[in-house]
Amino acid sequence: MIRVFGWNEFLVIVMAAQWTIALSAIAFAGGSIGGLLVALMRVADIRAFRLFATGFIRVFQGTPLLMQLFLVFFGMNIRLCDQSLDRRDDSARASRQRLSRRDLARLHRGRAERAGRGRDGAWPALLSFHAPRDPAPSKPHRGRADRRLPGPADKGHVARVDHRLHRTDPARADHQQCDVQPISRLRHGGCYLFPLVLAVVAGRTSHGNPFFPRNGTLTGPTGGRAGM
Amino acid sequence: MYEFNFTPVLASFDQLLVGAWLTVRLSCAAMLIGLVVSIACAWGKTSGPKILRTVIDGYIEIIRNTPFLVQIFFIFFGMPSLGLRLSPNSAALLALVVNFGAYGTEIIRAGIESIHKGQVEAGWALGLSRAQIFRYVIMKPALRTVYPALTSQFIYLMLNTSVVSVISADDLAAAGNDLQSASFASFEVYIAVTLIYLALSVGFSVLFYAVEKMAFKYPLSR
Amino acid sequence: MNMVSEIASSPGARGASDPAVRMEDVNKWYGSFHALKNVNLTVGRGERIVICGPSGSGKSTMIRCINQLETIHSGRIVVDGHNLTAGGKNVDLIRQETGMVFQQFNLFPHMTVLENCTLAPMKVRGITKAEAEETAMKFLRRVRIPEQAAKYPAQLSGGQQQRVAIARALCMNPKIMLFDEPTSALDPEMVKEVLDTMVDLANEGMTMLCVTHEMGFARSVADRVVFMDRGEILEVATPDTFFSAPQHERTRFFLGQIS
Repeated sequence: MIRVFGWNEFLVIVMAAQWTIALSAIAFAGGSIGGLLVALMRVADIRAFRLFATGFIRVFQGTPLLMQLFLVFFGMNIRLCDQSLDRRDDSARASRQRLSRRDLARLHRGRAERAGRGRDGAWPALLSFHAPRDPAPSKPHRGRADRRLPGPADKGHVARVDHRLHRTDPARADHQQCDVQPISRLRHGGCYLFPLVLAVVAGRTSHGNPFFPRNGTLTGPTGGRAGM
Repeated sequence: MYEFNFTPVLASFDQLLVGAWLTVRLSCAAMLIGLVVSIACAWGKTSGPKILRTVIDGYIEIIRNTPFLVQIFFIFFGMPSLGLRLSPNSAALLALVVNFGAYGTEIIRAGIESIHKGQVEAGWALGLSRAQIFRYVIMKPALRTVYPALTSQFIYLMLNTSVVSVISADDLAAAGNDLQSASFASFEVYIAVTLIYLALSVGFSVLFYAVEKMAFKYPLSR
Repeated sequence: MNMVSEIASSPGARGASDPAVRMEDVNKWYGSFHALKNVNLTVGRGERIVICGPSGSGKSTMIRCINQLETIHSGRIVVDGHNLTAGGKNVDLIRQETGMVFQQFNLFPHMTVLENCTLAPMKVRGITKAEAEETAMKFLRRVRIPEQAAKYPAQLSGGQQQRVAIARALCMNPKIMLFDEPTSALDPEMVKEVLDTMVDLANEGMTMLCVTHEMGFARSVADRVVFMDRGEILEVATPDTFFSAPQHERTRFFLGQIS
């Protein structure tokens, strides 16, 4: 049934707007402080500071906010997942131990064959997302559609094995995995806030285009200074 | 410690390049059409009749006070109910043009207003018409004055194209999204995509610099 | 006091007997400020008029009314037989027939000297580029800077720029030339080159109205000198009479101030 847009729905949007305002306010405040720092670096006497500030501004003004958001989101989640896995280290280790070598080997061969290459040739494609904690070289690559894996191994068994892997493998760094992790709302907000603040910093620091300072030359550290 | 794995990114790099090419084409088309829209609106705003000015003011205020994301949703999902059904790429282009038009109008209007009144009077005194004065006397110096602002708005437009992936246009960001959902190497994919965007923006800056050198050769006094 | 021409001509009919400019009871206000008060002036063909007076006296406003850079609120202006107050097409026509030189030169900075001179003839008169350039070079030679044709205004000195501005106006083959303080923005050493150009022009029989503080120029070139103060024409006289026997108290005060 299609949900009707009514008074409650409107209130939900209004409540959400509070977050918009809060995010803007924090980004503005953080950006002002950070922007001041970067601006000071931008005109500093120390060349390294100027270069850093120029690079900072270029990167943040030269890339979409959406990408900055994604990078922080996924970059942070890797850390978060690791942490939560550490907490669950015991159970992780336990479940990993429950997988027999044979299971893993089967699983692996199935995947290698699916890739249409010999086992050795496929190896680079199977390189782990994470450094393997298990010294065994048999840890599979990420759990990409593993349930659909065709292979010589017993399909049901592989699916089960892989499912267990999926639950416990630290390589599972994508957000689907993180959805099951308890991430506080604040931390989640931080994912969005961080690039926002950085973008605001970059925007405030260089008045206008960092590539086109007023003197019309491409920015070197000194040219950029003249443009400020 | 986290170990980067760029293999899936490199393996499908051509996908990203195809996306980047659409981003480039989309940006260039939106820039050129948007520039025409901006110039037309700036003219309307500086020397059009009252009613036209009010309409343009309204347009600018609406666009500048709403997020691009909402605008693109409105065009893609809202317009069909008004009978305008667009493909994702056309809707993206339209949204970008409409968005850039508003910002560009204000920039170019500032440029026009920076032109000394004496220039216009000299045009009048020579018997030029209103349109001729705008075209031959005002336009070029006005564009030169606001060129830096205009180019950063252009770059901003190019970066803004990343948002069009939300309506399934096949730009660079969309290619990145596809790739990450296929490979799960989210972090690596977005690093690569971000670097491509950075390269594009630097590339556009260099292009704009070259255009400036070619188009505005005349020396400025003092 | 008012030197309305004796020449009787029916308004509207154009002929050689028409004066170049006739202003009748012209009034203009800037808000509550009365900028022009009942101005009456008739300029014959080939006549050289110098307009002087203290700053804010309405001199510039008056000559800017002649090509409608300023609109008037009452009265009548007839230029070369065209009634300007009728508006519309006549305004365009008059602007093509009158050249104007500004205090700040107002050359187009993004065009070379030659392009400055050819723009209006090509776009307004519709002549070809080659023709326009030929005419432009002719006038650039006359103001003695043909060698600067390919340069941009910013590369020229003030005096050179002003001479280009004169050449640019001449390229439209105007019947009347209006000068709005053409030497006021110039460094002293450049005043002479511009005045010389204007003298040449005067000697060729051009109808000229000059707002200027160059009394030497007024003495040697003008047929009549017009003195304005507070939006009124106070005195119109030949240079001899004007400088030796000014009629009005304020004229005497003004002349005492500048000499």
